[in-house]
Amino acid sequence: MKLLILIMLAAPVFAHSNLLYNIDLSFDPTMAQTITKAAQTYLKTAETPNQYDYDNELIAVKFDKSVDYYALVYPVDNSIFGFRDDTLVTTGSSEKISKEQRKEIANKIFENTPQTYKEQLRYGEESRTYLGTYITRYYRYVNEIYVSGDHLEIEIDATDGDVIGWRLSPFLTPSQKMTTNPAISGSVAEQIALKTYNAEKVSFEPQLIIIGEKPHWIVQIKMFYPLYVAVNALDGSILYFGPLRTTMPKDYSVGKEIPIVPNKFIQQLENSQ
Amino acid sequence: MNIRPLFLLILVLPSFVLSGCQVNSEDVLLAQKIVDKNKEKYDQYPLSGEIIDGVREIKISAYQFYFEPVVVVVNKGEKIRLIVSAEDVPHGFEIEGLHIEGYEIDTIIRKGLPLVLEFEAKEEGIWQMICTIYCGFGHSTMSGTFIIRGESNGMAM
Repeated sequence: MKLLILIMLAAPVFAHSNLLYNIDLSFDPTMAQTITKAAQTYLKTAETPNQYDYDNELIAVKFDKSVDYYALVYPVDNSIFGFRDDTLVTTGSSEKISKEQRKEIANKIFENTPQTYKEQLRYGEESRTYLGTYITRYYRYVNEIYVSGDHLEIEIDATDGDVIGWRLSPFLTPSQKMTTNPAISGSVAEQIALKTYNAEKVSFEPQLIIIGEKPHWIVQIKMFYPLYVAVNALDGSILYFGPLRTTMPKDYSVGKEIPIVPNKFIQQLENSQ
Repeated sequence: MNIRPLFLLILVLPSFVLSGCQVNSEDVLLAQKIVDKNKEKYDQYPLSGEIIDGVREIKISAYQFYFEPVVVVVNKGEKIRLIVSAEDVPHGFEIEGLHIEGYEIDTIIRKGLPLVLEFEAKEEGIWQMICTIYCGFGHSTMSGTFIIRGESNGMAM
């Protein structure tokens, strides 16, 4: 039987169309006006935006062509979900702000996050960028499981402690709508991936994450080289394969300890011949 | 020196290691059933559109925030003509991962000016149809499924 390559993307959360540059808002002039006003107010500017970008349901209202200088607006209620000002990046100087100081600065932003977001966020890690700045990330967890793509990140200049930018994901899927218990184990998910792609096993412990509303197992297989496969933990369908499509919290290891709750679909298959 | 404990350890240790590496046969069986069942799900969809002068022509409407039909099925090897129309605001269209010669994925489809795409369905598989032009809050949820059905499924026209 020919190998059927399933490049099924059940949920669009990883479609490349979630990041779009220089979008046209002329189809909704009211929205254009209100999000512009929100951005101008936040950045304390009267300038006219020169560009709008789209970032996972947030609109970046941009004010400078030469550097990144924008506010991220959530068009549902025009609230601010981030900003960036690259003019604040200091280059060529030595780092004066310690890791502890940077954590304190990031924590102030975290503390100012609305409570409904804050209670689901956990400190992840800090990483250094090619600019010499540092990004601190807090990741969203629901029932101890990481929610793919949802996080708060804060970028800090290590020379003077300036916050270059921050971004909060809008948590598009409420936690109440999520199913967090898998219906199949990580081992079954791994076997699904191996059989679907006729691949080799790799030494990698399957990890459970939430994508959209559903739990998914992230497994690794080897065709010519190691690839990740996201397997829907409720029905075993493949969401994607290839590079990992999310930033995982450092040292994340969740899976075996989450109880498996087989659903009707899986139970019927288990009982079938 | 009493080597008996060491000898026993050497005898017993491999069995612990090997048992950790073995895959549960029940997991393998369930996985196969799941793979087969999920594949069957797509075999049940009827072919889309109609054949006109040897070309399968399919009309796809784009709305805020869905495609109609949401699942498109064609046969491998067929010549395909997709006519994608925007029914409200401007939309974009892409069959993600499927390259269509000469087509720019950031093409804006405006109401009254449908996009016509012609290509051959060369590669069997399942792809996602997505909107590539920002069309409002909810744009990220706009998707459909494009299936090229192979002869191996016994579903050729």
